[in-house]
Amino acid sequence: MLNITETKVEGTVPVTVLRLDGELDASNYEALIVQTQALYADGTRNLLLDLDKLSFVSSSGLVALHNMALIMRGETLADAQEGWRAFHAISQDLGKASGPEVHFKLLKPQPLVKKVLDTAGFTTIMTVFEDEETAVASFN
Amino acid sequence: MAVMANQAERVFHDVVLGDLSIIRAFVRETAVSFGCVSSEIDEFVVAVDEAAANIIRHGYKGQPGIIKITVLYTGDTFKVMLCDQSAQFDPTTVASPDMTLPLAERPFGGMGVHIMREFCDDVSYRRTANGENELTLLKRVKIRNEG
Repeated sequence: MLNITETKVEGTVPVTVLRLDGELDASNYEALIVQTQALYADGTRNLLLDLDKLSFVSSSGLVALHNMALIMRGETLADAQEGWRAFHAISQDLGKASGPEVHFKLLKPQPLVKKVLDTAGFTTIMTVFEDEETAVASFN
Repeated sequence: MAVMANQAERVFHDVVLGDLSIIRAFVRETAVSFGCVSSEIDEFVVAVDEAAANIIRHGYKGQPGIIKITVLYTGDTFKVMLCDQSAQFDPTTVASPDMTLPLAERPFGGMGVHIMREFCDDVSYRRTANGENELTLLKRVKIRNEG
């Protein structure tokens, strides 16, 4: 079960905060991608993903996070079924880019979720914040 | 201290990705009922999820199928065996992404299996005499003193 709620906040620039509550796995990760696509189509250009109430994430959830980063970069998505192809695509992009993602950032992962992110190497390409105010202010 | 082995089994019929949360809850709750501390097996539950998701997605490919899950706790090891009837597949042969490479140079796939390996102390596979895939995930845990 995963609940997703969105909040618009104003920092230096407008930021959309998506708050996840529940568990993110192979059965529901595509909903997160679809919602992010809708947000981007609606004008969202800076996205903060609040993981404070996310108690579980698997590799499928990581596919969602990578696709979300792709969307916020304005990239055309690969088919969601080809999640790791998207993973590779963004990895190639990120390999060329300098530093972590600037339009997609993470907030307050619980220890288990943080461990999964670390194990997959995601925390080297996505900035993780522990404080929402600081996270929102970091977008510019 | 004498340690009694505990075992539980559950068969999931016509298993779908939506069953993953039930599978995780079964493993977690069974482990706790056997005396494991929930926080000690959180990562192990992620590994079980990755294994089950692989079977549903790549083994059965959307076709109806069963997964039999056996949970075995011996006091210092916690084992989960996943048995399925899909085509023969040994996930232990899947190469993990080389985590020393920059992300741009890592190959496709393998992340689920990589997480599975990282969050277990041992992963083994065998094809059973009945022609089923049996994947065993093992986690060493601290022995609890009853009472």
